[in-house]
Amino acid sequence: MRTGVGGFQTVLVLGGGSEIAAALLDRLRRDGRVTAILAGRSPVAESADTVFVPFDALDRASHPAFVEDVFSRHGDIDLVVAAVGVLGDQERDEVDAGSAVAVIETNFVGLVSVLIPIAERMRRQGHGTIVVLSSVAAERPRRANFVYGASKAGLDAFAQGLGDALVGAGVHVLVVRPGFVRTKMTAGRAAAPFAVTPDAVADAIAGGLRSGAHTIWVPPVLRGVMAVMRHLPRSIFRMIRA
Amino acid sequence: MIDAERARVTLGAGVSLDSLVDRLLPHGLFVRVSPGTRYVSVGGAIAADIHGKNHHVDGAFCKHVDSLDLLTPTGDVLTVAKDSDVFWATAGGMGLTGVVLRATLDLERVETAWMVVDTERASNLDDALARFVDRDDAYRFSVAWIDCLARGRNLGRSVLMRGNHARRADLPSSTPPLVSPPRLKLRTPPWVPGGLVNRWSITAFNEAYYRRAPRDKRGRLESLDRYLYPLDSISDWNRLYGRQGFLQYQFVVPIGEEDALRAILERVSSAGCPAFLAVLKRFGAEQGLISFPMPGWTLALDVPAALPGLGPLLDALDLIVAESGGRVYLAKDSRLRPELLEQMYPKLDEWREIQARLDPEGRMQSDLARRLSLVRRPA
Repeated sequence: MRTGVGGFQTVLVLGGGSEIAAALLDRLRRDGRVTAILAGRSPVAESADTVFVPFDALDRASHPAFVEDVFSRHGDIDLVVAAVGVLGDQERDEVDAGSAVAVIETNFVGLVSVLIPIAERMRRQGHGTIVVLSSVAAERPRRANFVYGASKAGLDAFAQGLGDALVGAGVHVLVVRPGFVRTKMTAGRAAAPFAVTPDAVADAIAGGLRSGAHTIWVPPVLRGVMAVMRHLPRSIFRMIRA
Repeated sequence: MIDAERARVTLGAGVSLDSLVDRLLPHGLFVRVSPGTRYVSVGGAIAADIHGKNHHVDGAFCKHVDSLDLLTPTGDVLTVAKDSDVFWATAGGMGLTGVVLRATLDLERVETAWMVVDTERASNLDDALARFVDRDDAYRFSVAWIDCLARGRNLGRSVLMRGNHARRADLPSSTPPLVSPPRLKLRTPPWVPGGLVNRWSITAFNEAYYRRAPRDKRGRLESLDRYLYPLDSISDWNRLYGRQGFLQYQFVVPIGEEDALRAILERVSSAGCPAFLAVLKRFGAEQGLISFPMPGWTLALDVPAALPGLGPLLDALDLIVAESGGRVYLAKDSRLRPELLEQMYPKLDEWREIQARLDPEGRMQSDLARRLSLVRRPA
């Protein structure tokens, strides 16, 4: 259960290796003890308050049992962080259907598959928060990474709708739209304008959890930037490389 | 049903102390234990085994409950008396043994709806504790307001307010003895801005409150309402805390552990924790299985829930409380770490045993029970 001072007792991270999720857990632990359930493909070190659970976003048949197991073993889950995501290889994805579909299946379909039973369990427990790591790329897909953009656009739309569907059930969905984040996923790429660190994203998420926001942009200036970008003529938008 | 002859009442558990007290006073009767507000139900008073300013003399609420009807989670209605373990699992059992339907309470006879109150100032914690112990048996009711922001040699400066029920002879003959003076009703407007309760406003308030209190004034007449329920005259006072609200932290440390109390006050004052209402009181004997009161000093603090760093501060206080052999009050808890629960409530397992017997399928649930793993999960 969440505590009276806003603390989260039990947190499930989908994509247990996520640097943003790790930075967020650090922040949550400043407010009190947190049991973290890290779900992912590669095992992570366990400790008194960290457990690892195998989870593969692509193995959709396993998702119902995974959710059932986590909730029955750990009781109430106060916060779920959906941090599963791959960037893909745009050049290859443009010509190789299998490779493009893998990006969509990981970032979008896999999360739909696991978030639906999670939302159902949270509805039953009567409380909970789901943080969905979307991207500014979701707001308007760019020429330079439209496969990734399409996957995030799908996820973003799904998460917004899920949040609306859960209003009144005590369950809250926070959609996070970061710009370029310097992580291992983006290592070796030239940073886009307004690039941020995982710590900055974690700070923003912690702030959004406190304020009860439903959508946040990191850095916040991207909200305005994207509002303009969305209305640029295609012929101009197409030329943006960053 | 009021039995004025035997000073007893049998009533539905949903009745509030507010309406009960109004009906009892004309008979010259009063509840034996009353909390700091009239707006609680009898069932809730039993479930939390509440205490009042007279705990050091009269014990907690359930001591004066003669018997109660309990709708158990399996659908049976049991009438339980004090010789039953179900009674003592329900007293302070936080509602998890079932639903209290009816109760019979022993009442006390009063001659008036007034109190005779002595007020004195204590310049620091040692002074306050010494004054509490001194002549404590001369007062049925005692409580101290404590300034949690005072530091250094003023640490723990307080205003003690102690008193007894007034007798007929204490009142001017023109005053009708059993009629409460009309209650002044103030409303907190809904548009109060957030952040009104902060370190600076509370420092100023505390200074004024302390200075305004008489150094030593004996024998003042105060209505029962005003002495026992000071906040009830300001409706919606919780709005002063703004949208984020407040939480109350209440703990008890055993007699002899005054150093723990001092250590906690030091932490609270050096953190600049704006505790607007901090109340200190001495408890008497313990009862029941997971009932809160135990012989010791209890302190209750109201603090804004959004205060930065509040979580870690209260976690640190919990450790001092647990270490001293004390406990926090479950009825007011919203954030305790579950690991400390068994240390604070050593009879918890015994209670769980009885609870599990009454509720084999685990039907009774509450946020508190889930957060703290209070009840055993059915296998």
